[in-house]
Amino acid sequence: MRPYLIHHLLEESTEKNPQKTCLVEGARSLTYQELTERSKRFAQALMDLGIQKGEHIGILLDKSLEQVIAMFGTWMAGGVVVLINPILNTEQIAHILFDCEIQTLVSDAAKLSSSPFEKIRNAIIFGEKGEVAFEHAFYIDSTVSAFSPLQKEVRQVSDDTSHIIYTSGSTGLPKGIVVSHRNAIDGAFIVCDYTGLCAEDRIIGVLPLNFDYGFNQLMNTVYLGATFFLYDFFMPNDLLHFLEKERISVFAGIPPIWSKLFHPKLCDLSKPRDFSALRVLTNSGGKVPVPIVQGLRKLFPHTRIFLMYGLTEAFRSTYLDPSEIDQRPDSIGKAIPNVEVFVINSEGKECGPHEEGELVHRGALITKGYWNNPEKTKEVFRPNPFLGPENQHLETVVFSGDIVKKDEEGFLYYVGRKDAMIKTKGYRVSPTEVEEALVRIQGVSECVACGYESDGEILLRVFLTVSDGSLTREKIIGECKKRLPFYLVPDDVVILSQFPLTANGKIDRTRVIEEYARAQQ
Amino acid sequence: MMTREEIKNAIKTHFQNTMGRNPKESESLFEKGFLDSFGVVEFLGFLESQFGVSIPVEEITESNFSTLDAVTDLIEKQMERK
Repeated sequence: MRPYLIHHLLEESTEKNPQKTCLVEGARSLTYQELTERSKRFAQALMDLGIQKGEHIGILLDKSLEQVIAMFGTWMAGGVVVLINPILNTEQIAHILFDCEIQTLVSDAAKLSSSPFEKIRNAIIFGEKGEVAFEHAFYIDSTVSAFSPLQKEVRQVSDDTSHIIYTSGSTGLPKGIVVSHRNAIDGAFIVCDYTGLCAEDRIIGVLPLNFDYGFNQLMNTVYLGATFFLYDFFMPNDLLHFLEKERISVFAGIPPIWSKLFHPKLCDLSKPRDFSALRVLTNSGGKVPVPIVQGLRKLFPHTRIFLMYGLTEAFRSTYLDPSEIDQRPDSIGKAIPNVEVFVINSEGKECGPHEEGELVHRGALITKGYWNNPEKTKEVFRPNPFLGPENQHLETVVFSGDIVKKDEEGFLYYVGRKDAMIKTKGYRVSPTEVEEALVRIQGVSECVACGYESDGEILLRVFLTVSDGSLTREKIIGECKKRLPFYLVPDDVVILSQFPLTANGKIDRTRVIEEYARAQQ
Repeated sequence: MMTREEIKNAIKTHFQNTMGRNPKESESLFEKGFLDSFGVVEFLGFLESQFGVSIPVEEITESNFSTLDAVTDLIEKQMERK
């Protein structure tokens, strides 16, 4: 019957190969046996605090061995993991603690000086006692040796909630997306299947674990019995060195990481390096500009590169088979196994080839909905429209809010967010289309496009970062006029030194656009 | 030629102006939030214009940007090369 709960994945791999290294963080590492043992001790600590089954456990820790121990310990104790990224600001942390009704927190003393913890009753603190006093608190070290391993099994089913993901919140305060054990396990099965991962893989964890895409790397690791390298990305030169030195075989990244790799001021690509161990590279969390896809192909010629699409509400929807990447570098491919994807127009009918419509996801990975937010849940998690009026209630599908189109062969192409389409000069323009055109201009690194109102008319504005300091507003508009139809030529160009980022490291589009608009008023 | 102290002070002033605080000598610029992979480009622009140096791309590493001391070493080295 196993595995049907997330910690079964870990326990099964531990049984098979207890002495194998599971986690590496800098000079520290844990074998499968050590991780299982410490997680069980951690589970006992939670039990001794008196936590209830299904209780939300806030984990405010850096990406670390301790963070992973706390996650598995929580699952073993029947709790729900709520990861809180320490780089969030006090207001965002307070919102998550409040919204998610967190009464038990796992953290370390250094993080507890500045954040709001009035409602927190119980705490497990790695390290020394800090400034904040809790009603009940345990102070432990990373071996959790003060507690004996939990012996009993807490009865749970695969539809129980395993974790709640607070999205990075590019619009308003972050929303909690409720994920089941089944979702997480199916995610690992599906991704390992279509990317062809195996137990020998050495997987780098560059992304935060509170990001579903980063979380899935950990799930894949423990499911396969592979090795996971927790890695904080600062400088692209060091990242390339690490990939080579550790013979990393699987690398999941997002567009801002790729654009740093190809930034001529930051990354030295001239040095010959051996990336022959790197079997699989994946992208999700945004579309990769075609020049960067080509750059990745050149830098990692032996690596299978997967371009993928997903949204946290249903984790992952599509991938492009690596054999198609040179012919269709701008495609997000087709549905992943155990998932179906429809493109639906405004009349609710399936779109024909090249007709733009909303991507609708059905299948294994649909999460349970938004925590504490039935209205928003109803908007996104809807009855399957193809089942007929009497039977629609039998299945829930996710309306992604993303506009895509299909070609004759069924390959999908991302167009843009439904609510971000710009109606300008009589045309319907997707910001993505403009952004892709702009980053093709030599010297332009990153771009965010949006509409703005000027004398009752909607015009087009682009925000750019540039690697060539001599690029001016005029030069860029001139370049655009040479190569683009008039309605795609920006009316306003704003050059920034850097983009603000969300906690997951993606460009915070809303903040870029809104802060500028506010400054203009 | 600027002294080591002058270089250090100019960098501190930059952090003070942009972030409202400045790092202690051996504090990690990354861990303490003064720098992240995305703020490096801007910081690089500042260093190059302030000190009139051009920092070779292979020198853009975590160890060269880890602390105020490390960045100062890097700038001194580039100034000597000129």
